[in-house]
Amino acid sequence: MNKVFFYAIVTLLLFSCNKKEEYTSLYNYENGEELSAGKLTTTILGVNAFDQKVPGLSQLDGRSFFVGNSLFRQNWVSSPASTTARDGLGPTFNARACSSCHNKDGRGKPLETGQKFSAGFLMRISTSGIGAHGGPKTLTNYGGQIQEHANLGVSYEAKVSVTFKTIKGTFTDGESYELKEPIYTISDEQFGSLQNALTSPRVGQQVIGLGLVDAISNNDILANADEFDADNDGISGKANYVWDVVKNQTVLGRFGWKANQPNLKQQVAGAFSGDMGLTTSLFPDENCPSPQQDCQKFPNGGLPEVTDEALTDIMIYSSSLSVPIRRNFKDENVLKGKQIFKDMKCNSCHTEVFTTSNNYPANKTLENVTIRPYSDFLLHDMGDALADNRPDFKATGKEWRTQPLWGVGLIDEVNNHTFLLHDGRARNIEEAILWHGGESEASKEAYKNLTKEDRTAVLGFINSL
Amino acid sequence: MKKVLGLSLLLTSAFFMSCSDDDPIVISPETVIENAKTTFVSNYVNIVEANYNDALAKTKDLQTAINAFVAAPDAAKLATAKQSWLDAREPYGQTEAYRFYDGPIDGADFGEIEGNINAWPLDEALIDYVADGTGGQEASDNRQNIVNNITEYPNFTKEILRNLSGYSENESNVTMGYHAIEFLLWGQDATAPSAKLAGQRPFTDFTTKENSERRKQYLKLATEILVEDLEAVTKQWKSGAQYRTEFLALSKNDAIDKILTGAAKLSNGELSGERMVTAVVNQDQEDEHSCFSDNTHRDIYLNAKSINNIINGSYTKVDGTKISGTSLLEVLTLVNAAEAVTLTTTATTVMAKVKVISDAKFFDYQIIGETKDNNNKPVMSAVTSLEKQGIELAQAGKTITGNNIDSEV
Repeated sequence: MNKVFFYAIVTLLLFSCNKKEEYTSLYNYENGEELSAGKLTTTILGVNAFDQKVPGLSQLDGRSFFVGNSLFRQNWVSSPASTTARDGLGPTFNARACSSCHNKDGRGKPLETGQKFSAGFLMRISTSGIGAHGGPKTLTNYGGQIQEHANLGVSYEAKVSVTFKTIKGTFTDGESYELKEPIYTISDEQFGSLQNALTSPRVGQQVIGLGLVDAISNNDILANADEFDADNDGISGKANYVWDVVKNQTVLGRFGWKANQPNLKQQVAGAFSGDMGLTTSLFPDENCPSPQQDCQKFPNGGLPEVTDEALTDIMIYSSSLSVPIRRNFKDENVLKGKQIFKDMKCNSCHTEVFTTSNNYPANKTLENVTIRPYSDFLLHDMGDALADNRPDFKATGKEWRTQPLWGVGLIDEVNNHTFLLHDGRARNIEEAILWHGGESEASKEAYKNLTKEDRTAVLGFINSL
Repeated sequence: MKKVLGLSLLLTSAFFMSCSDDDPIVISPETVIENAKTTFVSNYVNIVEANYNDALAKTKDLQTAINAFVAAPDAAKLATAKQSWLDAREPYGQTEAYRFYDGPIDGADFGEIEGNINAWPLDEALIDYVADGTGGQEASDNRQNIVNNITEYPNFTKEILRNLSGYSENESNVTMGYHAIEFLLWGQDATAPSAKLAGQRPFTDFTTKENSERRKQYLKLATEILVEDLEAVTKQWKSGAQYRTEFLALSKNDAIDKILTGAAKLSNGELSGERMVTAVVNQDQEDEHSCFSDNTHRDIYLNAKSINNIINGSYTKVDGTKISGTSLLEVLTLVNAAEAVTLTTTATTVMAKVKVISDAKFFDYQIIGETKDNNNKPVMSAVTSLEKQGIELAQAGKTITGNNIDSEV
C-alpha cells in the first residue's frame, strides 16, 4: 500500500516535472544527420573547414596528404626552372596553382565586370558535332577551353569578359527579387574567331569529400537514374557516359558540372592539363593546338611534368579532404526547413544518403562510410535560363549534374563569397534556387509560393549543410 | 627536477589540507585535478603573453635595424638587419603552438593575421626580381613584379601591399610577413644545398640597383605591417584584454581542448607534415620554411620547443627569466600516470631529434637522400617522433577533458 502510494507520488512528481519541461519538436532530427561524411566528418569549422583530412589514414598516406596539399596550394612555374618540384607550367594556362580556383579547397569566384584576374573562372569551348570518344568536338585552333594566360614568349589564347543583365521577379507573397544574368564576351582571339564557338562558363567547386564521391559504386548512382521518368514524377535523372582515358572505354561519369569526368584521378589530371598546362601520365601531351607554334616549341618540365608520385600525393590529398559537420542541425527552424525541402521534392535530385562501396583501392579509409552529399550525381534538365547549349557527352545543353550541397553553408566563411551555380551567377543560395528550371521548375515554384518565414527556414536548412 | 618538485608540492598541499585536524575541509582527488587544470590554463596564458611580448620586442628591434639600413644602406647594416631577423625568429618560432584554435593569431574573427605574419612559401617573384625560371607573372607583366613594376604599382602604401598578398584569391601569392622581409634581406638561395650558403643579395640592391628606392620602401612598409600585425595579436593576450579574459573564462576542459589542439596539430601536422615531409619528398629548398636565410633548422627546433614549453609548463624569456607553472605532464600524471610517462619519453625524444637537426644546420642539405618512408635518418626520425607526440597530445587531451581532439591538420 505504502509502496503504491510512493510510486503514485513519484509518478505525479515526474509527470509534473516532465510537463513543465516537456517540449516536443514538430520536426524530426535524425540521429547522426549532422555527420555529412559519417565517421570521416570533420568538426573543424571556420576558414579551414574545407582543409581537413579524414581521420584514420595510414602514416604514409597521412604524409602524402601534406605533400599533396603543398602541390595543390603552391604556384607552378614555367620551365626551365631551378625549383625542381613545381616546374612546367603552361605554356598556356588559366591558373598557376590548384588553389587559384579552389582557394582553401573552396569555391572559385565568378568573373566580375572589368576584372583583371580571374579567380576560379574559365570558359569551355567546342564546336557543334561530336568529338572523339563521344565528347564535345574541340576547336582545332584552341582545344577545349580558353587559356587566358601564357608563359613569357607564348601567346595566350583569348580573353573573356562579362556584363550583367538584371532579371526581376516576385515571390507569391509580393516580395520582389533580382537575378543577375551574365553575358560573356570573348575577345582578343589569337588563333582565329571564337565568336561562333559553343561556350560553357565554369567556376571551380570546393574539393571536399571528393574521395567519398569517387568511392560510391556505379550501381548506387545508377539506382536513382530514371532517364525517361518511368515513375512519372517529373524528375528524370540521367547518367552521363564519358571517356575513361585509362580504361580506354566509355564509363559512367560523375565529376564536373556536367558529370563529364569518370573518376577523381582523371578529373585531377584533366585540371592539370586544361587549367594549368601540366602533363601527367593520363594526359601526356602538351595542350598546344596545331597553330600555336610558340606553345609547341616551349620547353617542358619533364615527361610528364606531374610525376606519377606527385599525382598519387595529389590523389591522396584530394580524396582525403573531409566534409565539415553541419551546424544548428537541431534548431527548430532548420528542422522545419528540412521538412519543407523534402515537401518541395528538392531531395528528388539532392539525394541525401549514400554508402560508399567496400572496394575503393585508391583510399581504403573511405570504404563503407555512410555519407550525406545531397546529390544524386546524375544529370537533370535545368531549363533554358541555365542552359549553356553546349552538349558534353550525353549531357544536353540544358542538363547539369546535381551539385552536392554538403558544405555549401560554409563557402562564405572559407571563401568570403556566396556565389553559386556553374558560373557563379547566383549571388546566394536563394538566387541559386530561383535559377532552377526545367525538371526543377515545380520545386522552384513551390519555393516562390512559400511565406517569408518558410523561405527563411529552407535557407536555414541549406545553410546548415 | 623542478617539475617533480612542483607536482609533489601540489600533492602535498592537497594532503595537508585534507588531513589537518584544525581544518576539516577535505580536498578530493577530483578537486586536485580541477585545481591543476586551472593553474595549467593560467600558466599557459602567462606563457603565451610573455612569448608574444618577446616576439614583438624582437621584431621591433628588427624594425629599428631595418630603418637604419634603409636610411643609409651598407653591408654592415644589412648584416645587422639579418641578425635581427634571425633573433626575432627565436621567440616567434616558439609561439606557433598557439595556433589552430581560432585564437587571435589565426581566427577569422581576428582577420586570420597569421597569414600576414608567417605565411610561406612566399611568391618571391611577385615581390622582386628572381632568377630565370623561378616564377614570375604572366607574359604581359614581362616577369616584373611589385618592386619593379612601376606601371602596375606606381607607389606603395601599406594598404596596397596588404591588398596584394593573396591576390586573385590565391593563398600561394604571399607578399607579406617575416618571409617577405627575409627574401628582401637575403634574396633567393640560388646556390646548391651542398654550398651551404643562404641567399646572397648584395646591399647594392638597396643603393645602386634599379628601383632600389622602391625596394627600400617595400622593405620598410612590410616591416611596419609585420609589427602592426604582431602588436594586434600580442594585445589580445595582455592582462584584461578581451580574448585573454574570454579564454580564462572558458570551462577548463574547453581551454585545454584549445591548448592541446594547437600543440597536437603543430606536432602531427604543420611542423612534421607541411614543413618537414613535404621538403623531404620534394627535395627542394623552395619547400623549406626559411629558404632564403637557411634558418629552417631553427624554425624546426623552435616550433618543437613551442610544443615542449606547453608539455613542461615553462618558457624562458629572451632576457633569460623563466615563466613556469603547472605543466601538461603534471595534469596528465594526476589523471593517467602511465600516459604521462609515455608522453615524457616521446617529448624528450622529440627535443633530442630536433636538436640534431638544429645543430647540423642547412636543412636543405640535410634532406638530400631522405625519403618519406624511411624513418631512420635524422629528419624523418624527427618527423616520426613529432607525429607520435601529436597523437599522444591529442590522447592526453581526451584523457584529461573527455573530448576528442583532432591532431591532424
